[in-house]
Formats: sequence, structure tokens, C-alpha cells
Amino acid sequence: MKPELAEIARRVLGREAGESASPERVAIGAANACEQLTQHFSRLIGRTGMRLLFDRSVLLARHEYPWLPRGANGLDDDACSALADALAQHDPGTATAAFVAVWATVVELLGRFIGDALVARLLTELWPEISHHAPSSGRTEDEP
Amino acid sequence: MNQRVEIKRLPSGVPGLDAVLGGGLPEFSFNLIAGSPGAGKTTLAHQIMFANASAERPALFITILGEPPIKMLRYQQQYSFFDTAKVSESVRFLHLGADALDRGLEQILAGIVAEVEATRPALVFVDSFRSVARRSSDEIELQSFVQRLSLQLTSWEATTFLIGEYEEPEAAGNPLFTIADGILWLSQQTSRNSIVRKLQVSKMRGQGQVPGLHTMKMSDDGIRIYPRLPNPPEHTAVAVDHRERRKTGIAGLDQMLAGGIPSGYSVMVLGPSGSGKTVLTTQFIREGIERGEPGVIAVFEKRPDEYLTTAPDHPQLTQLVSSGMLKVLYIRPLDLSVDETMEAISAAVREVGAKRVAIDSLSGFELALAPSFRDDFRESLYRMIGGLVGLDVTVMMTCELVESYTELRFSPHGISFLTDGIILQRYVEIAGVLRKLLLVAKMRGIDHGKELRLYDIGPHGIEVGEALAEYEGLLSGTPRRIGHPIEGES
Repeated sequence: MKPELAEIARRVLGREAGESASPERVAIGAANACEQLTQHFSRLIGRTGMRLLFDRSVLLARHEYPWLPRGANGLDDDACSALADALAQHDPGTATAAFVAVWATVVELLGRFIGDALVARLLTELWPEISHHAPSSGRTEDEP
Repeated sequence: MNQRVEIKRLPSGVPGLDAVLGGGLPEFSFNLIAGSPGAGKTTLAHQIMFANASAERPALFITILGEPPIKMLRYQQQYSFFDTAKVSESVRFLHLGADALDRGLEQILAGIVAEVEATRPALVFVDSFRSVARRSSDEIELQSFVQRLSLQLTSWEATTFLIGEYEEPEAAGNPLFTIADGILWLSQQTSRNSIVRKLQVSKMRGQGQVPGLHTMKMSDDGIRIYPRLPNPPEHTAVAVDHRERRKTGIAGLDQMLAGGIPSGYSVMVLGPSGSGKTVLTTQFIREGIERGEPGVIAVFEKRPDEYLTTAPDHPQLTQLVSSGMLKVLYIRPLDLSVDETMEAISAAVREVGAKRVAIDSLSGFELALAPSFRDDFRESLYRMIGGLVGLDVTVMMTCELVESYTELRFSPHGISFLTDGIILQRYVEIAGVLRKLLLVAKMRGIDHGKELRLYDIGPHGIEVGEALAEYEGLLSGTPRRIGHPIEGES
């Protein structure tokens, strides 16, 4: 996971969850951020394509957070809700870290396929105040 | 008052395509880009889209099945025309996906119309429309769908492109081909180990497109079209006597030509290997430059530096290249089309303002052509010679001829009738010495010398000597002096 993407993920969650750091707020913020991201990019690459990237990201994040929900047959349309439900069971710090791991990996994978510049452009549409920096492409060493 | 509606034409952004289309893409037209898989349909659509999309003229690219959009975006970004800065600003992508298809044609139409109403694009692309059309086996239903889609998009003043995998026989009876205002067919022809891409504008309502199959090339910059050369016009009515003469720079040859080659003529120099065809053409070009007529030499077998250093007067030629009076053009790819060659030569002619062009050699040119073009080499050459002469240049072409002493052949391709003049070089043995002979076999409309003349190649090029008036049978390979019977004959 790239540190700059992790930082963007934290800011996105902070914006969606608000100042309060209660487990419920983190879960709601994560659900919003997840849904906005998947819906926005689904328009571009399709729901199936987006779901598959999301599924892979969750699988990768489960190495560190094994309690993250894995879709029965790939993630279904309620994947973001399932993610939020799981995050709500943990303390805000752990839930934030797990969300950041999933979200940043999805964005990184998108960048590898369609280019960081295009991804950054589309993220800026969603969160104009935070997603200004295009991450650099390339595999991270910690990916299995 | 002239109340005729004027159709605005959009530039396609594809070099060469606007000329083929008859001026550009008609605004608000409903078009089909059809062809086999891998023919370049999606790339063509993207190139048109990025060339035209702007804040005032936004574009919407809808994908339905076909190539997965994540891969399409990945690959299309490799082309220089893909402008990431336009995405989301003036270019929007929308993936309707397989589930849209499951809901039927009505829902697809509703989805497209809703998006068009929301974003008001001036350009709409649907890729792949074939997957939509496959949803219906009912021709009436499909016709109704296409008609309503066309009307809806036209009513929103959108110029539309449907992209689909079709083969030409499918066009007959397909309502889509009837309703479309414009049809661009993309195809690939495989011959031996060569693939040639072609584009055909089989329909473009309201304007005169250039008929025929046009060569299409793809590079990092996208697609480029080489418009098919039209058949050359009939010879102009300018009397040969009134034409300016282009001196060859070889005194004896100019004498045989009654002053030189008439301007605007195409002349073929034929001869066996080593006979001096290249020497003759470079002399012709150099003579022109000395007279203030820039020249172009198109070479197919040697690189320009190699070509220049092996020429007998290479220091001067190299100097002429530096001065901008001479352009040596190297055209070597093995999947070349005649239109591409013509484009390269035309550009060089315009660049230096050439009045003389040498093509060295036709044998090399034929080898450089893709096999599918070699099959109709004569037709290709016919169109190229016409195109070159149309540039107001005098053309000299070399062609290697294998010596045959049992027949008088003028070219290995049966193309000699295409040219205005033929200069033939041959070897002959005289008194046990191999000599070179030169003959002006044809020079349309002028009373040229018919004699066979000896020539030598010296440090200054070809020097034409005396006519061999006292010999006969020179072309048979067994000449004899007139009045001196062959030994053994009575």
C-alpha cells in the first residue's frame, strides 16, 4: 500500500465520517466513501469490473484484517454495507486502518489499469478538496 | 434568398480521412463504424472523439459489452491523441454493462436517452452496438429501436457513431445500414505474412466521399488514412512540341531525344544489373538542379547515405542535399501501399519544390509493397505515375531487366505502355569486348533518334558515343558487321 494513497484514504474517511470518532461514525463514513468510489468508477469501467477490483482489495487486506467480509461469490451490491458492518465491530483506530487498507488498494489497482492521472482526475471530481495529488504508478513491495 | 441548409462538417482528427469523407463528418449525422475484430474501430472512434470534444462540444462514450472498458481505457491511453485532461471535462465514459442488455432494447434506449438528456453531448459513441443488436432477433423491433435512437440523438443535435463488429455480407437487409447516414468499413487483408488495413466510406449522405478502399495505418499517434489515388486523368492537350524540354545532362542522349525529355513525361530506364540506370537518373536529377529545378530521388533498396556514397558524383550530390535542392527519400517498409508511397513522394516534392523525380527502382518499389498490392502492381503503378505527373514533375524510373536475346522486352511487369518514354540499356559483345548500348525505344510524340549508341560510364557519368551504324543484329546478342558474313556462312 502506498503511503500517499493511505493518507488520501484517511482524509476521505475523515471527510465522510466527520469529527466524531465513534465506531458508528467511522462505519457510516466508510460506507459513504466506499459507495461513492464504486459508483463513480462503475460508470467508467462497469459494476462487474469495479466489484472484482474491490473483492481483490478486500482479499489483500484480509492478510492483516482477517475479519473483513469476503463476498460469497465476489462482492455483491451490498459490499460497502457489509464492509461498514464489519468495521462497526471494531475500535475506531482499527476500523480506520482496515478501511484505509481496502480503499487505498482499490485506488492503487485502478491506477495500474487505467493510469494514475485518470484515477486522480476522477477522485478529484468526488472529493475536490483532497484528491489533488496523482499517485505514482507501480507495484508496491508489500503486495503478496 | 438561399434557404438551403448548410451542413457543418466536423474534422475527423484522423489524417487523410477528411479528404476521403468529402470534407469531414457531417454534424448531427448518425454513423456506423463497422468492421472485423481488431480492425481499429474503437481506436478510430476515440481519435474522432478526442479531436472534437470540447467544453462547448462534450462527448459521451457508452460501452456495452464488447471490449471491457477497463482494458479499453488502458490501451487507448497508449495513443498520443488520448487526452486525460479531457476526461470528465469534455469526455464522459459510461458503461451500461451486461445487465442493461438483460433488460431489453427499451431499457437500453431509455438509459442512453436519460444520459443524453442529462449531459447533452454533441458527440455520442456506442461501443459495441453489435451486442445491442444481438438482443433482438426481430428485424422489425431492431429497426424501430435504431430509428428511435437515431431520432432521439438527432433531436438532441448529437453526431452519433455506433461501433459494431460486422462483416460486409451482413449489410444487406440490415436496418441499421439503411438508417445510418454514414458507414465507415474497416477491414484487414492478410496476404502471406503481411496484413494491410483498409478503410472504405461506403455511404456518407449529403457529400461526395472518395470511393474505393483506402490504406489505413496505425501507429502510436493513432490512425492515418492514405487516400486511394484516383485513376490518372487523360493526357493534357498540350502539344508535345510546345512542352518545355528537360535536358538529361548527357549530351548524346539529349541529341537522341531531340533536345531532352518533354516536361511532365514519365520515362522508364530499363537495363540489366550494372548497366548504369542509377547513374543516368542521378545525372538527370543533377542536371535539373543545375538549371534551377530541384529534384527528388526515391530509393527503395539502399539507405540515402549509402545511395549517395555509391553514386559516381557523390560529393556533389551530398552537397545538393545540404543545399535543399535535392531530397533523397528512403522508402523501405515491406507492407507499403502505393498511396503511402505517393504521399511520401508528394510531400518531398512540395518540400523542395521539385520539378524532377527519380524512382530507383521499380523492382525495389514492388518488393517494398505489401503482397496484396503486388498482385495489382500494374494498376498501382498506373495510378502512381498519374499522380506524380499530376504534380507537374518529370519522372524517371529505373527498372532492372534480365537480358534476353531471343526477345525485345521492355519491362518484367508488362508496364512499359504506362510510361511516355522508354530508354533501354543493353550489353553487347563486340570483338570479344563487353560493351554497353543505349536506345531510345519510345518517346511519345517526338521524333527521337532510333539508332543504337555505345556508351561508357566515366568519372562524370554516362558518355554516349557513336551510333553503331555498321552493325546489325545487335539486339540479338550476336551482332555482325554489315558486309562481313559470319564465319562459315557463304
